[in-house]
Amino acid sequence: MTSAVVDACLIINWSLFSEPDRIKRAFNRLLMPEVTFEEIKSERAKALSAKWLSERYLVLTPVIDEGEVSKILSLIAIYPQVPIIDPPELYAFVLAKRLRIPLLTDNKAPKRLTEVVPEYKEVAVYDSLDILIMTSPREELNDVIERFMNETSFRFSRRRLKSLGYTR
Amino acid sequence: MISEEIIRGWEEEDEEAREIRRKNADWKFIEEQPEPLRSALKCFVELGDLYVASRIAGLKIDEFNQLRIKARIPMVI
Repeated sequence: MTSAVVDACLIINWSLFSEPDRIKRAFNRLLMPEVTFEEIKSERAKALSAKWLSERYLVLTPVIDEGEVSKILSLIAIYPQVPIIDPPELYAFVLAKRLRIPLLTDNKAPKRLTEVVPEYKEVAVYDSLDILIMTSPREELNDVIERFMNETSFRFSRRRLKSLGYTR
Repeated sequence: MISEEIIRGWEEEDEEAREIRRKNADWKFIEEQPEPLRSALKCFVELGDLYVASRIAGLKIDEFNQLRIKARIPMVI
């Protein structure tokens, strides 16, 4: 097991899921830049983050490495096809790279950035579907995916579900 | 810098996600919202970007996410 950096969206989404602690099966500590924590406002997401903060499972961190942030912004400015990473997950992405641990986010841009910029290929980026796969035995996976989609108002892409043998 | 094949793959993925959001959205609810919430919800249907939509709405991401759920627009990943 490893620690991971998490962005606000993922905590917000998982606070709507009936089994948020399932994430602990794959990650032993979550780090979140404090600036992204400011995006959390709903009762459920506040309650989940308060619980995880009290358990020292979730740790707030300062923003580090503004230089790396500027570098990514330069790439976005120079190459119009580079996916745009919005500020909250940009800080989370930079922290994950610096610490060499995975980033957990439901935004597509960080994953796409790792596909096309060689120096970011080493950053592992996982979204909610990846985490459900990591934390569920094969025989439970279809049920867990279905429950997650119903409870969080998520849809996973047909291509990805098909590759998992999800048939509903 | 980025191959056309990769760009095409992203475009297909984005189009599939956009179609799912358009199809499931409660358009009556969206049209009934005051500005800038209405525009923010429409932006989310097109882009699927919570951060950008929340900034248009003048809300935090979490607050906009609750509005998204009321508008029955799924997050698609």
